[in-house]
Amino acid sequence: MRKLLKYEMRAMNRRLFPIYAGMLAIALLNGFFGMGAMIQDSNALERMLDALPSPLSFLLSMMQMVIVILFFGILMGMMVVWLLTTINRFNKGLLGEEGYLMFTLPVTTGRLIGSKLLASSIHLVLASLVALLSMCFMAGTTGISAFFRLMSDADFGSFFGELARACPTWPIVVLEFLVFCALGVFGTVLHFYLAMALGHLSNSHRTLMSVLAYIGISVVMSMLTSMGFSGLMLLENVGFVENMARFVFAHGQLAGHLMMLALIALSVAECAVFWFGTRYILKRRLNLE
Amino acid sequence: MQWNLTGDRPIYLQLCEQITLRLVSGAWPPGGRLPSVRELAVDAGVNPNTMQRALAQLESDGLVVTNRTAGRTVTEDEGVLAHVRHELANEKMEEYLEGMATLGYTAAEAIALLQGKETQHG
Amino acid sequence: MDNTLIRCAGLTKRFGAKEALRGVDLELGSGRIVGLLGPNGSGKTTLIKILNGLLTPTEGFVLISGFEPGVETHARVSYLPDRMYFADWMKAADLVDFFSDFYADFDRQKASEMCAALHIAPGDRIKTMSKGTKEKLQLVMVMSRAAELYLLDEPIAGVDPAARDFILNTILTNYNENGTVLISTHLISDIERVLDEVVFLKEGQIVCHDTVDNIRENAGKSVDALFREMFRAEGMEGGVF
Repeated sequence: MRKLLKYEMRAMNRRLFPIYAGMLAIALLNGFFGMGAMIQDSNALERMLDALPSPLSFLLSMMQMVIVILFFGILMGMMVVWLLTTINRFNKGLLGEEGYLMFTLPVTTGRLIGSKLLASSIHLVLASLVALLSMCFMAGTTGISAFFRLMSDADFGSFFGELARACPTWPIVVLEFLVFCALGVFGTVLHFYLAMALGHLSNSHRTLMSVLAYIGISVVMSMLTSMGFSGLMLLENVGFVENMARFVFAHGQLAGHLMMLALIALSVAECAVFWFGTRYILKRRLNLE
Repeated sequence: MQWNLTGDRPIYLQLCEQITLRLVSGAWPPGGRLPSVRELAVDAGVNPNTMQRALAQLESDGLVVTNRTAGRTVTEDEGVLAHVRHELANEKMEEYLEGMATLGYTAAEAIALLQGKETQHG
Repeated sequence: MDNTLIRCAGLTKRFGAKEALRGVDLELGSGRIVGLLGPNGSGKTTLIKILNGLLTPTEGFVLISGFEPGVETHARVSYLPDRMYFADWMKAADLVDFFSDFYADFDRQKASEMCAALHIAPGDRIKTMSKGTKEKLQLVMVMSRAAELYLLDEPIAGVDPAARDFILNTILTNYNENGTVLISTHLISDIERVLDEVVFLKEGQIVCHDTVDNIRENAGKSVDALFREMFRAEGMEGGVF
């Protein structure tokens, strides 16, 4: 499994690292020439803007706008590339010609899928970190130092004290949230995997069938969700919601945890269905062209 | 020496014949060690099992012997080699005479012609 | 001990309405070189892919050393597909690492030596290699394993005679003596000499399964000639090579 992950990471790194580098480089450039210079001293900037003839100040604020749009564009682009790479690694790497190699390795199908899922998730985290880092760069050197000043000024002790008083179980909340996020990522990726595996079952038009499968799964998921909600609504008749509300008011924190746990359980169920569906198809219904 | 295999007859028979030629001509001297089956097979570009079968055949003919320590060697019994060589020579002579007969030569004429050729050579 | 390496029974594979294999029963033992012969579209590749678990049979089953295609058989089978299957961004050395990472029976040294003989440097990228070199590299990888079964799908299709000799030589020199080699091809005359036995496939069915020397003895002609006779109706083009 470690070996599989190693090769999978290398294959993804090859595609994504250049983009990360590009992202950071653009952010750095922006930091130097754009906002960074202007935010040097916001008062000075305002004075400068006031002093400038209006067309020029207009131009400057336009530039700021463009830089921000550009940045978010790149951010979006990075996510799109991540998604495409994820899809591509599965579609080409398992269902395409590379599948001839991967499926004849003495490893289980579960590990093949798992390594791809993990590599993809790790890269999503990396991409997020890169995005965060580039935002820091965008803010420029002053922005960063301002940030650190802010951090050092902030009274963390009292903040956490406050937090602990308001919600004594906050580390668990954070943990629950992280688990939920991770499951969300797995669910998203596995959703694509299952769609591609389903599309693969068809003898022709596999790409089209994959897209349809993706939409189909989404529809089923949303139907299940709405059915779940209407189920809750039905329970209203027996005073469920009222009892719920009373419960939440009485035990706010416990209710919060229960809510998170329920969400996590649902995500786990979703991931499990996607996972086993994909694995079953790749194991028992594999038909490489 | 080249291996020359044709398509129409069992390969192991052809291998037998060609190895026999090597043995009786002295290309592989009596008592000498034979290459391994694998080496021979690769050299001839044939299946090792087929080569094995050919060697087994030669072994039962007494042309090669398998020795526990030295592996497979050419027989040291030169009588056997001479005998096989003689047989092959007989075949060639028959062939020659038959061929000449189809051209209309009597046996005596054919032999005389052959002698003339021989003096030319000498 | 049971010497059967491959056992197929009632193997059928349908793609939609098309039947690629129709009830194939086949048993192959160990320590042999077997030719899987048949014109294009006769089901050779389908059979080999099923043996590798890349295709799922519609009916029937296949066992290799008693296992269904899966993790256990993949560790025992060395497979040369009819196409390039390496990620082309890898270097030759990456490939050697990859194989030795996953296959316990992979002989690194052997692979390096054969690469050197082919003038492939470890740092060469697969992308920059010619098609012929890629194919040879792939064969080197496959033959550097001491597998129980080698499944070689059309290893000599579309190569020049020198490359063909290299390929056959590599197979003969390197295969594990206790293992079986199954070579699929439609170019019989080229490889007839290296085969123990042949399996003829015609329209998804086995029409003949015998040793080469038996066929030559009984039919009085080469397997190639017999093959052409058998498939003449389909207008085979085996004579080009």
